[in-house]
Amino acid sequence: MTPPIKRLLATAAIVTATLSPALANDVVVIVNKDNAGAVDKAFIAKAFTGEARSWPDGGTVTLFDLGDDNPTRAAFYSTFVGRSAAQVKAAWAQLVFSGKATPPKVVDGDAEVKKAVAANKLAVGYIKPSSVDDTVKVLLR
Amino acid sequence: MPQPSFLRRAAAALAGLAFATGAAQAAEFGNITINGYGHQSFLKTTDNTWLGADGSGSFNENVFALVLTAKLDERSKIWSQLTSISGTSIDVHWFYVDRTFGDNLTMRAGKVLTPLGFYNEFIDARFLQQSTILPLLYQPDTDLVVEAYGGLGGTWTMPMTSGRIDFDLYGGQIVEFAGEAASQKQKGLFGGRIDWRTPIDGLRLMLSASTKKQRTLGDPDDTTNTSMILSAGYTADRLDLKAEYGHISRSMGSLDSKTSVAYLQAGYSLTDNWIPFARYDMLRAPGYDSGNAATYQNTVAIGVTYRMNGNLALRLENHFNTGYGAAALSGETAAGQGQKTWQMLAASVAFIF
Repeated sequence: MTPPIKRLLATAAIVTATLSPALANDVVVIVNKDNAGAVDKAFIAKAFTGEARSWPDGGTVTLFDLGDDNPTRAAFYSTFVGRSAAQVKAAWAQLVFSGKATPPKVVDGDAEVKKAVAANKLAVGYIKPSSVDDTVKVLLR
Repeated sequence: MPQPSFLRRAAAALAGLAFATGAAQAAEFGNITINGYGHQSFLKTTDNTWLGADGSGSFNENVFALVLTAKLDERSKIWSQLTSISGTSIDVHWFYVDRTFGDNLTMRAGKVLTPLGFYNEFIDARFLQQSTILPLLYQPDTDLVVEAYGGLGGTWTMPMTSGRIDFDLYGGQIVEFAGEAASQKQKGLFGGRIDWRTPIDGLRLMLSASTKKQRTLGDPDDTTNTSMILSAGYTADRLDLKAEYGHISRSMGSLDSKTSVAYLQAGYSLTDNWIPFARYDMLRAPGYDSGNAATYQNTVAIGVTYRMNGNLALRLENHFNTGYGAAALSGETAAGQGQKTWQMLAASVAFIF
């Protein structure tokens, strides 16, 4: 391997290592303050793709999503779901066209997500870390 | 009844508007949501006639559908789909109300999509499938699939520590579309499906079974059809593998016939846009005889999808066929008149919103 290619790969590795934590830190998953359940990242991934519909201790999960053009949405699906927004859209479309389930309710911005989650004990959503306040509880970060 | 072009225009207008803005999403009006899908195909064969296509090529294969969902309360919804297929009149393909009881039971009543195999419940949404041309198992003339039934059904979900199992049970009557209703009297249908999302992430196993009784005008007895479909699928980050085997036996008085169908399909997302696929299909029609090409069909299909975005896809594929059993079952190529070796080219554009 020639030195320029080595340097290029090393630079790419550094950039990737630098950017990945930044992406992960761009979004947190929030739930209602009264939600005592402890679920992991895998559960959240299944909930936001329609695979899991109930909390482990009972109750239907109520999902809140941000719009396609919100950068926090891309960070959330990349970090916590591990799938692209297009893949997630296709998964929900399959459920809708099968008459099985409807996609998460899309709300407009972090303030609306917090308001919706604070009002519903079974709700889950995601926002920027800087938007967190005492009206909601951070489940995963 | 509105003309077919109305639905196509409405779907195209909604889709076009959404695509133009670059964010095709469902239209919401209070508690009512409208989604949609469709595709337009061009099919051409080297020999034989099938799916309305021959050596001249055909644009007749198309579907446009609007799915309407109305939320009645936190536990109940009304679902409906208006569909136009290949320029036919608009049909209400399904229309039902569902209600969720507790966390794990959902009941449905009305004209309900039949839970059969992987694809039956979104059989016409080609954007979500690997291929424009359905696997032979899902071709209507094999009799294995019934798009919708009128009656009552339910899904009970058994959560597991890892994975889950969905149990479907249903019963009622097949609701034929205009044209078919005149020649067949339906006398009942019931069936079920076990859908196991295994602890191995991405691995799904399924067993579907149903039985139906009907009387074709002019026949002396009822025909009882009993079918079974075994399904296995595995999806990973970029890989999508599916295999299904279906078998149907028909009994009318002392007459019996059987059809067996199977396929193995693999799709791989090279990037978010490019998704090549390959499939092997096998059909053994009633009276199968390896020396009679009208009683079987083996197909190798290869193709590629280009997803322009999350809503719009272009697809090109070619099907290399030996035997013309599916074409003969459809009645488009008469037994004894077809070519044993032939090909079908399919190009399509598909969308969802």
